Amino acid sequence: MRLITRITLQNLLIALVIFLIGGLLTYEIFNMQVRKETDYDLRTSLRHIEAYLAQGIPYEQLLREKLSIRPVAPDSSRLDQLVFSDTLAPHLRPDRMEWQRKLRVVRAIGEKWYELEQYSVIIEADDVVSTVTKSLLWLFSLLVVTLTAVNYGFFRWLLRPFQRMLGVIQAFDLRKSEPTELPTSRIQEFAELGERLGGLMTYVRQEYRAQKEFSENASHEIQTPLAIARGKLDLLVQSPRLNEEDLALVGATYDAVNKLSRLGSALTLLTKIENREFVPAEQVELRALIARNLEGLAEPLALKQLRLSQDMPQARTVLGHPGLLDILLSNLLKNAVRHNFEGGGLSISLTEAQLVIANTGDPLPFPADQIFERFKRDRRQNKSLGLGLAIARRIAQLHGFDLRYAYAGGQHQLILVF
Amino acid sequence: MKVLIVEYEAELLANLTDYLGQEGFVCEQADAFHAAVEKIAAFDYDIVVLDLMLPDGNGLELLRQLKQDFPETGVLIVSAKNALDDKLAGFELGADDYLTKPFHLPELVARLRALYRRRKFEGQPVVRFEELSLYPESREARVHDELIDLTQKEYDLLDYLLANRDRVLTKQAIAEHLWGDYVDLYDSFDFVYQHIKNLRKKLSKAGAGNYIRTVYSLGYSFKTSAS
Repeated sequence: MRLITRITLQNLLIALVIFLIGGLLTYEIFNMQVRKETDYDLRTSLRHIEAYLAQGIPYEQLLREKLSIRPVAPDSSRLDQLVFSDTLAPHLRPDRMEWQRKLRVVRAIGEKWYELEQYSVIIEADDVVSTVTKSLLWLFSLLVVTLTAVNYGFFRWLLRPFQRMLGVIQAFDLRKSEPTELPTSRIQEFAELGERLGGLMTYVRQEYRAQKEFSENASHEIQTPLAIARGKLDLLVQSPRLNEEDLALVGATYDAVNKLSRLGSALTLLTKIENREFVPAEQVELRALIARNLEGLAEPLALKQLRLSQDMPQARTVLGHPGLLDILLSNLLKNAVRHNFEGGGLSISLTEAQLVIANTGDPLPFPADQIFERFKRDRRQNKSLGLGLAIARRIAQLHGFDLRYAYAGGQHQLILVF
Repeated sequence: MKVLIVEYEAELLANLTDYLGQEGFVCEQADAFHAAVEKIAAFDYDIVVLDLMLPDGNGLELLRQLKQDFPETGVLIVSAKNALDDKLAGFELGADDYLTKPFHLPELVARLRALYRRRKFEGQPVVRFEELSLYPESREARVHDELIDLTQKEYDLLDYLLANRDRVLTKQAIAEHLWGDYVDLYDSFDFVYQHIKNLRKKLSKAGAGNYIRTVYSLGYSFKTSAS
């Protein structure tokens, strides 16, 4: 729900409650006032009657509708007491009963005692309610229209810095280096929010850049001594003085240096993926990418005499990073070749939902749930780094894919679920 | 061939100078941006080997100046910064080739020779040794002027061996040259052996001398003299 809608609804709800309470109060106050006026009128008209009686006018002549005068026996206990009550009495016609206000009093005028009763029609409650409701409804409608107009106009204007900040956050890209322009505002909260947000964005970018720089520098610092060592070995092997034993030593050193160098590259790649330096934002067609990788693997496939079966009926395009997806596929395919039997099978199936790469091979020498862990590898495969599948899974995660492993019927299966 | 090596790491600079010197290249050294700028202004070089990570200036800036003032000079970028950005920026500014550290020195030699060939020869360059001749543009090899039927990989292998005559080429260096990124695939050395075997067979069948020797436990060497 939009903030302005929420504010408007909230306002209207509060207004509704206030109007309900206000309506009740108005009704009560109105009623009270009417009764007060009625009672005052009753007292006044009785005073006139008393005056006439005191002048000696016989009470029979004074009788009229809504007035009764009866001579009573003297009773000092009731003398001069004004008794108000609501009662049903005929109004206009003898058979039409209505609620009326009645004032009864016993007066001693001269030697005669009279009981006087004066009636007055009360304004009906229904009439009061309908009048109050009608006027309040008008007021409420006016308020709804005004509130809505004011909220959508004024608050939208008031919240403009907020909306603009939201836009800036949505467009925020960690990798860009230009400073983000945050809207300024004279409202303290917005100004503070903008300031803090700007600070946070700058901080996050600095951290990101520092991390990126660090991984690049680390890569440089690791690869440089390795390059030196390898260069020295390249120079050493040219020496005519080396005998076979020396050559064997140099060869083994060479292997170790190479492995270290590949390890450095693989770890740098992992760090970069984890640092989110790659954005999966391009359309990548997987079938063609797989075909290209298979071309690169033609020789190992032939040398191991692997039976390759492909089931890729149609192209499958995903949103991703072409370089990373290439590494992902290449790692999976290389794995399927490496951990295979001579003359074994390798099958690839690509559908809309998933990619399955399956190969024959011995069961894993470690629990299956550890297969994606770093440095988890088959120790019999000396050349393997144990990072290929860890990298593959990281890449899959970055793309929002799920990479799973299963072993069934003598087949290793790696399943990439899109 | 006159080469300027711009490299900040002293040991790496020494390696490069020694190895390229043994190959008969005339090498000059520069270990910083300003030293490089001075040398480039003072002398003519066929190729500049340029490390992008220099302490006192950006390697890419040096590349830009080079390409602006000396467009005839070839540039081979060397960097441990395996950042795609740098690579793309380098090519945009006119770098001719790019090598990522760590690399095999014979690989650098082969690249430099190929780059030199591309820049200096107009028309069809030919690589000759005795009865062998290689035509890089058409990727053809001839023995006694008779075309021999080599696969792409066999041609690359022969080209690589010829670019590094009388040097020991390790199996790793050959594998990396032939397969690049696929080199970490378990026993790529078996493929190297296969290709060497086939190449030897084809060369001897065409009547070429036996130049390719095995260097025990390390690799192979193209010998220019009979031993």
